Amino acid sequence: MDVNLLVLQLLNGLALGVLYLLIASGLSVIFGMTDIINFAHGALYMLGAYVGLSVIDATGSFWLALLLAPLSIGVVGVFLERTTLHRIYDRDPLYHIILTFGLTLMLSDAVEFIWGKSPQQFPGPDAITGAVALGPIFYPKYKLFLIVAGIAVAGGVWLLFEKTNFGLIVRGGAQSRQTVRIMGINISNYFTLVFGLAAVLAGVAGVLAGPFLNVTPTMGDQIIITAFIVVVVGGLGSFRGSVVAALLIGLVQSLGTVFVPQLTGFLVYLLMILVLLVRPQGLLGEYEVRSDSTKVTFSEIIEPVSITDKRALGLLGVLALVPLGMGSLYSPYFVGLLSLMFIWALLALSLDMVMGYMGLLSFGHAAFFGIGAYATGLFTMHVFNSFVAAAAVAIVVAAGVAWIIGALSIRLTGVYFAMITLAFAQMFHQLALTWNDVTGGSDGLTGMPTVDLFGAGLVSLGDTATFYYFALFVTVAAYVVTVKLLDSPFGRVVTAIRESERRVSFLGYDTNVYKRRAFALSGAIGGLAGALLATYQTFVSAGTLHWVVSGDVVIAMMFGGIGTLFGPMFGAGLFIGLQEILSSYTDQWRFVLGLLLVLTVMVAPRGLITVYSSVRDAVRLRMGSGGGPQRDAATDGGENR
Amino acid sequence: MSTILETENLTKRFGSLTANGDVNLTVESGTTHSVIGPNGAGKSTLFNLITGLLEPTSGSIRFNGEDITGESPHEVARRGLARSFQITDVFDGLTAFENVRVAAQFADDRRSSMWRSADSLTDAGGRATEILEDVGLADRSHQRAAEFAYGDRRKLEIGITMATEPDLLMLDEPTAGMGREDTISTVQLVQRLADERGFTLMLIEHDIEIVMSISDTITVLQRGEVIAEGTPDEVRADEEVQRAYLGGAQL
Amino acid sequence: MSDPLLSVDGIDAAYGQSQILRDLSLSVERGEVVSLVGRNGAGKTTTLRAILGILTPSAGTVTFDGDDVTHRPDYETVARGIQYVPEDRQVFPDLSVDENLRLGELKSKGAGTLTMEEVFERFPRLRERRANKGSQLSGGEQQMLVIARALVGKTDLLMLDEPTEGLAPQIVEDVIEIIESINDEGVTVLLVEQNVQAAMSVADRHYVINKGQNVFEGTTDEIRAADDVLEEHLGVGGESELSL
Repeated sequence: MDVNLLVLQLLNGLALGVLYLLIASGLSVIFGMTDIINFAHGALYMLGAYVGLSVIDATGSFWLALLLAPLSIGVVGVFLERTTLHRIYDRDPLYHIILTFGLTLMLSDAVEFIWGKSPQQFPGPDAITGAVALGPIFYPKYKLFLIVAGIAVAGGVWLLFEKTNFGLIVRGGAQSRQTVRIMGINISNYFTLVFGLAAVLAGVAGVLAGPFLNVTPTMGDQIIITAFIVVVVGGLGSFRGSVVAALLIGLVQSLGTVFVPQLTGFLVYLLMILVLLVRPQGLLGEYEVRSDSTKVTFSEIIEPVSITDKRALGLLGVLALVPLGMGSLYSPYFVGLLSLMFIWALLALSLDMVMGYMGLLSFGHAAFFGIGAYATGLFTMHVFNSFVAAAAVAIVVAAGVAWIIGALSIRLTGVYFAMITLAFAQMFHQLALTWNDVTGGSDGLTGMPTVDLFGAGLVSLGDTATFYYFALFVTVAAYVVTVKLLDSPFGRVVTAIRESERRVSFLGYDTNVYKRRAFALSGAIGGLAGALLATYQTFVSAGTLHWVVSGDVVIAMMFGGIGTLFGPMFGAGLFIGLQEILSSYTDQWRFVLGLLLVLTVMVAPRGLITVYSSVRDAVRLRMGSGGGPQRDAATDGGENR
Repeated sequence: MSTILETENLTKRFGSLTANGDVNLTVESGTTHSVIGPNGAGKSTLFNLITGLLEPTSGSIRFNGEDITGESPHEVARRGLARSFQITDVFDGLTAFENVRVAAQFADDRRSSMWRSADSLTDAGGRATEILEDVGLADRSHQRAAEFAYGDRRKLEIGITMATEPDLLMLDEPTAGMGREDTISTVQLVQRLADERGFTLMLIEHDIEIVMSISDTITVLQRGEVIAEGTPDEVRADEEVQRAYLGGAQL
Repeated sequence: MSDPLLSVDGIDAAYGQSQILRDLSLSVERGEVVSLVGRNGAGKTTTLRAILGILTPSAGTVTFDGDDVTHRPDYETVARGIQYVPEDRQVFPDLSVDENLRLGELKSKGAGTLTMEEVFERFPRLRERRANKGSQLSGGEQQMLVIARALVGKTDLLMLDEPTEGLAPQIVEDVIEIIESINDEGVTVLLVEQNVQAAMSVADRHYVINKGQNVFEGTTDEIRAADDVLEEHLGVGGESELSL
């Protein structure tokens, strides 16, 4: 073994680990105090790099950038917390996570708009260029600086937590918010400060990473996942755990590329799975995750619309007529777009089943979508060109994967579950990118045939109208089956688990069995959606597995109305439609989506389907025809949390 | 009389704190057995140990003659041991009927069937209706539990626990936070149901008068240890109990 | 006599749909030790929480030192000079004794009733254990710590929720002694107790509540004389006989 190479990789690992540490420690501290998983943290890191870039452009000084950029990110963090999260701390954590996801979209697109999409060079400080001789090897001075600076900042943060009153309050607050309040301290101000501090750290990481990694609008997307993994491996809410895990993961990554190059990109996930299996609370997890950090509750229950409802039948009637106008009233493109809406509706349905009905925060539904798509593509290419057969395979594989992911993650509480599912999906994304021979890597799976429904030339799904009818049929059928499923004895247990898992287990039910099975069923529907997607596109891109897709489904579900089955399907249609319309006007359509998502969470948490009834009630009230149903009054929990 | 529940040297420590120390307890079938003691005496911990929510540090638990130490809550529940919680735990988003039916459904082989309607389990539905009548919520069976007042939520929880047809029902402060009238009517209800349905009742209760009037046996806990066990009269006469209730300091 | 330090007038309070307090009133004069006794579930803890504003009363007013604090947030009321020692003690388990005390002192800005040094003189045991984490203390030590933590803050009124709960008899005596000596130095005390004898030994006046309502108010002698009150609302009768 080459000792020089080992030293080199150790140093590289440290450099990476230090970056992870700066980001993960912020995530971890925010979580420790507020139970919030801050998705926007990666975007703040990215924003830090860009602001730094602009400071350098203006002043030519790296050092000024290193000072000013983090401070401005801190201000942005405080502003975001005060205008959004601060107002909804009393809500279920699900909404917090989704809100920060919306913020991520907004930040990313704002950056693209201001600084452009293309990667940019980030000049390092003049004083620290070139390499330095460390014995027989030469090592870039900047990376050494990065290691030292990062450790210094982390050390400073540690001192801040250990030695100052601020740190004392934050540590106390992580243990008991209420007790800190009876020390006469307004803890909610510290939520803001902690958020700001974490943002500053993300900003520091952004500027330090600049000269070392490419500066792009997507640079936060991958690092946030790794940071999640760091937090999980280290132990949620534990600063020391984050330090250990960040350095460990940095080293595992850099040494892995040398010693087990074929596993590059997977090692981190494997490490996480290992830790979860052996020590679910993380290496140094000290704080127990508060049980209320996992809940999904609704102030009103909205039953799924029956398929025989007049309005539903009317809508289906209209949809059935759509292809007739093709060519005369509108182009086939429009019909195709509707087909795509059906596919997404199916995916949103699949997500709502576990998130809305069972309360499992799955942020990795892209996995089932992508797996279904790849399975269908590969099967039709290499085995038999039949949708029925391929979809059966896709469903079985996706359900199987879902079952396994479920089995590994389900005993963990909600927030962990969100991160774990996300990480698993990213692992499949990585697999699709690297397994070139099979998946076509980053080029995607090309060369798929036009798919026949039954095979051997029977009913080609290449025809726009045929595919449209078929997709409509599958979507409606899946909806009917899901509604029936949730109305079954099994479904009633599932819904009861959302309301109180403890209560259900004390009735004798093994809740994990139900959760696993529901997750597998959800995976099956996701796989079916993927099968349709592959058939529709006759192409599968690795992007289908990217976590942004998982996020998009969550958005679609929230738009429509979580926990209603039909709401998310409308939401998905709306999502695809909006995307289509917005993207024809602006490249920054995700900004608008993100904004809509944030507004939905803040103003209409049960989605657009409730806006109609809220407006109707309000109108009735104004017209004096007696009150509509009372909305559940907000409890006084807000300030008391 | 046969013994339904027996703990032997049951001990639970949280760090340096001993929440339960060498608790030996025997519950006879068909009786009403109360556990009393000051706050922090370890009553809820004892219930949590017996029902599998906590794992004991040492000692054993036997239920109907079988060792159930270390079993998880659903396994314990399947053996016929049901419980309520100090803070009412019902399915807020479901109707009263659905709340009870989910519990009643467990006895049916088709409890996790996916391809039939829950309504087709007519036995479970019938039993749920019956129980709602028993606990006095029949006329509101289609209201969501979240809309119920406190006392009614308590009654609903008792209904849910009963629907599993337990051999032993453990109630953790079933009347906490209730007005006096509600308290008495709830306790009477539970006892009547225990008689009718033939289950053994074990409860933690603070209202000493009620405890004295309904219990066959009383176990007194203090600082995690049993300081007395016996009939109401025996417990009343016990010197140590008097000290516990009047405070240890010589005043 | 001037206005009472604390005056609670006809408050109602509820947790969700469960109403705990109904038209409850009490007042505490400067320099007094007042006890609030009653059975478990009578609403004693809720009364303290409502005074502080952890739970906002749905009706009635709470006046402290002449100011209406009914709708003020808890942290603000604490900073005005009401310290609260909750029943479950709420020591920060992962903070050291020193750090626990520093958090208590933080908002008083030098106006604390005791300095850290005075605390350590009074509670030598805490000095010995000042580097230990809260979770490593015994029950008695934790009780000392939370009382000390309250006293390093601005303490015009000290509210103690069952401070003798679960403590060995010797420690109970210590705690009672501490309360007496704090009071001697001018701190007003509102004490919630289930241990009626302990309450009678330290407090000047007593409020008995049941099901969230006032049922009796009087001096120690008056309450001793009122056998029926003791029996009906506290479950104890006479001097030493337990009449359950």
